[in-house]
Amino acid sequence: MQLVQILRALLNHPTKDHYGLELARAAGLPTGTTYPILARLETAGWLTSDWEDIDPSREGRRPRRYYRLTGAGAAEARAILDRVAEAVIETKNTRTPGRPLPGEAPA
Amino acid sequence: MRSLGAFGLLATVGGVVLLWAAMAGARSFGRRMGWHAAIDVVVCCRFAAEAVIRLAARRMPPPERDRYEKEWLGELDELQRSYEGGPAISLVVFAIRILVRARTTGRAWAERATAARTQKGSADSTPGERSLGRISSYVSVIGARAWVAVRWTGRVTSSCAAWVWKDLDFAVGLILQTGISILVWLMAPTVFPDAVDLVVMILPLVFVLREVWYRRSLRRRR
Repeated sequence: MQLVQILRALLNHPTKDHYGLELARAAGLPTGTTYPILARLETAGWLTSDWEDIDPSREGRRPRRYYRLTGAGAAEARAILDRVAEAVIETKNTRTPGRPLPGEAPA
Repeated sequence: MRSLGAFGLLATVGGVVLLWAAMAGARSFGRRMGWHAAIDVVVCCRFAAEAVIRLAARRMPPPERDRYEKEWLGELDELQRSYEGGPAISLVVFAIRILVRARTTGRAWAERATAARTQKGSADSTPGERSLGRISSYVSVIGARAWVAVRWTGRVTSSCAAWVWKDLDFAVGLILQTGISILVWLMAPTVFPDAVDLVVMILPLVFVLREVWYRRSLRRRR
């Protein structure tokens, strides 16, 4: 589920560059969880990363490491999110009537 | 009611003024001290967070260490700016969270390096050659230990092989060697990717030397 949250955050702005802390906040995940997922996505070729092109002394901060979805990564991410959405709909349709889904308020 | 008189009135007013001045001074001093204490806490937390992040970066594979150290320190800057005036302890919490999951992050890169090395190995040698290379260290240590056992005890009999296999020390040594090799094989790619080949080469030698030393000590005792 954490991977899905990260992919969703990335796909909200697929052409935008994201940095780790920003993605963690957007996905609502702890930062410690975010970096292993980003590393896996990067080694799988779904993400590319590059340093921000700034002058640190002028900006008064270190450059950020920006992540961006690759074409293949974006396609795979969309496919995964579609499959997750289908699985959720299927679960809702096949569940026992009157029994709430986890996190859902009872009727 | 007795009148205060000029002196009494002056003393009362003076006392009130002094009390007010003392309270104002204490308040100002307290504020200033509180501000300094707050600054000290922020500086300490920042220092601790940076130290923890550097420690976390050391858990990454060597080629990725610099990159992650810079990246996480940059994120720390960002976090400090966004929490300006907020809880400074959040910097330390951020760093600890990264430290706790640093090995998992590093494993992703180590697995890629291992896969690349395996692919490179595949291009250089055939599967048969690779398998032979893997098992040759174990075969060599078994052979060498048997030879040492025979040479140093003088038992050249048909039951020699059986005797070697029954030797408890030999079995324990072999199990230890295999266990340590597997452990190093699992752990080393994260810490030091090139260590695996080195350890596979050196371990048999270490165990053979230990065997020689053991047999020598047995002879001396006799």
